[in-house]
Amino acid sequence: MRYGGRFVPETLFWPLLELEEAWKRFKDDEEFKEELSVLLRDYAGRPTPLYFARNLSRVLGFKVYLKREDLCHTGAHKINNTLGQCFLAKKMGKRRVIAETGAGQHGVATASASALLGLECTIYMGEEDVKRQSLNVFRMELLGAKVIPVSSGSKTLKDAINEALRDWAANVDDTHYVIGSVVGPHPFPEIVREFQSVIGKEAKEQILKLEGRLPTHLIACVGGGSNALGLFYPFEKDPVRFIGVEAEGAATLSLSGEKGVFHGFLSYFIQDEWGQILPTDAIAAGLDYPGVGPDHARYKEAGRAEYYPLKKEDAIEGFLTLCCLEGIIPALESAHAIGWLLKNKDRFNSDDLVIVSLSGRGDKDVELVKNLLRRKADG
Amino acid sequence: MGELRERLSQLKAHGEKAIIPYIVAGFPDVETSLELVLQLQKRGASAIEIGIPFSDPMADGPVIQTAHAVALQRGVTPLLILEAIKERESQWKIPLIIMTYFNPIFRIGERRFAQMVKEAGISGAIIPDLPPEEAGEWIKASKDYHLDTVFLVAPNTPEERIKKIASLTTGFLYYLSLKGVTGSKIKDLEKVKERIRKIKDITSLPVCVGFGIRERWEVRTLLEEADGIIVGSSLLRALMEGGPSQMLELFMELQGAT
Repeated sequence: MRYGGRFVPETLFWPLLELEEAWKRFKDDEEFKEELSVLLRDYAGRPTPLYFARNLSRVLGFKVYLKREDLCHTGAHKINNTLGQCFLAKKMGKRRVIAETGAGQHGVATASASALLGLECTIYMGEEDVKRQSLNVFRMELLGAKVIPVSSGSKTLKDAINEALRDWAANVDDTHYVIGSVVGPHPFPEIVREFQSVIGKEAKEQILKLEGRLPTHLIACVGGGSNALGLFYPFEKDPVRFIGVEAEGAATLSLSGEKGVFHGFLSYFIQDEWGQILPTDAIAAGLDYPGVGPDHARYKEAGRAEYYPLKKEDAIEGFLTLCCLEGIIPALESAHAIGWLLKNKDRFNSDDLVIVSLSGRGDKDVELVKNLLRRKADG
Repeated sequence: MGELRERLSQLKAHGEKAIIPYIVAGFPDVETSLELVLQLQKRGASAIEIGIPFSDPMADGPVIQTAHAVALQRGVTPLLILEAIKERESQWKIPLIIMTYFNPIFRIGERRFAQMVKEAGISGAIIPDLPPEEAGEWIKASKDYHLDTVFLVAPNTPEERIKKIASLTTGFLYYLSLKGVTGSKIKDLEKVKERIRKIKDITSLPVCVGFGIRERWEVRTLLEEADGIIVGSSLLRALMEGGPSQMLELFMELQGAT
């Protein structure tokens, strides 16, 4: 099956060709790459450390390294992509960017990059998410972005993407759509993959330096799949196992997805027998998406990567464990990768070498976890 | 040539223009929506676009989004709609066109959907998120089942691409009056007319224009160049605000301008 594609209304077709042209021109442009790498270093804080999680490793019985994307500016890997895309938008002569956001991480990262580069910025966010993440809304506003609550459909991430696509169709001449994951019509999945591949490129160099060998496993959470693909992709040709962990309530590849066409691309989507897209239910807003990037669909079909669902309780367990073992509060998204590893430690050998993508920090989730634990304590 | 193209050619031969209303099957319910199709036919619609509701209608504005959501809540499915249309087959005197997003077709399978549509007595389908580049299977299936294809041309579609789109279209070219979603406001009618004139220089296909048309004078102005107009959001808004009678009244008013 040919995943991906460009299933968009005609108004967006030409802008996508234009974007592809610009992308081809700049992706190998030395000046563009140099300027971007300076921004990634001095503004976003790259390279991020590859940290040997000594206590977690002891408990698990094999070596685990954490790729510390949580230490990036704005608290997650999202900034790698937004700096790249906003920089590209600027080069294309666009004066405005728009983006969708779930919990707000991608929104904050887009707002930061736009403030830095002098772009007008509008963020679409589901009404439900606006309520759940009011602090992130304020953050985006502080950074000069306009946040528009989306009240259609399930009022969450997928509806925010619908609305961003609608805005883009109306304003394509001066606006670039900074899509937040490895999803959407071509060339978006490729662009986001390239900007996020910095994660895997760094990790490869770092692990070879630290351990003198390649890892045996890479583990990352998968919603749309950008942090996972960013880590996996540079290891594609290497004998390294890829493991993607999905939230059970949004387990597109590991449980409930079927082939479909949505948001401009062909992949797996959670849908009913008539192709209506169904609502999802993940505690981590960043995983609360009914689809998955086309490269992951390709990996799944080729058997190149394995995908597993994880229950909410196990994700919370991962969250709490990392807090007390390593003194790191992970994003609930990343906690899925940790939780899966804890639950499945028996699948590993003592000489295995694992890299987990710690895609974001958990400050945004602290209140949610507090309420969950309190409810649990109250029975 | 399918029934849709035939009908539009007949109109053209008589120096007449087409008016194509859009309704959402299942809004406010299946029975009423199909009764509306019948009433619109009676009042002179040239063809009727029947929308199959989708969970995420990304080319549509708030009015049509609401209609889709309501219809889905009622449990409407493509099968249910097509069966209901088929049951009333003897009543249809004009071409009916399905308008649907691509995923329901993809799920059912292009060939099977084409067959279902044909058996229901439908003349063709408009699929707003299926550009010709991705439509290979659909074009093949449409040909095999003698359905007309309708592709869209946008204000920013370059000339070379219009030629390519036209070469794959058998029904009519659907010209988008604006960049944006259904029900938005058209800013400059003269510009739209100019574009339609250009398109007609490129192709001999009938060109119908849609998106954002709400006033009688707009219909009249656009029809100076276009072969037909498509009206959806404004009719559905009338239906939501004042029921079937208000919708039909608005249709008559717009139709009077053709």
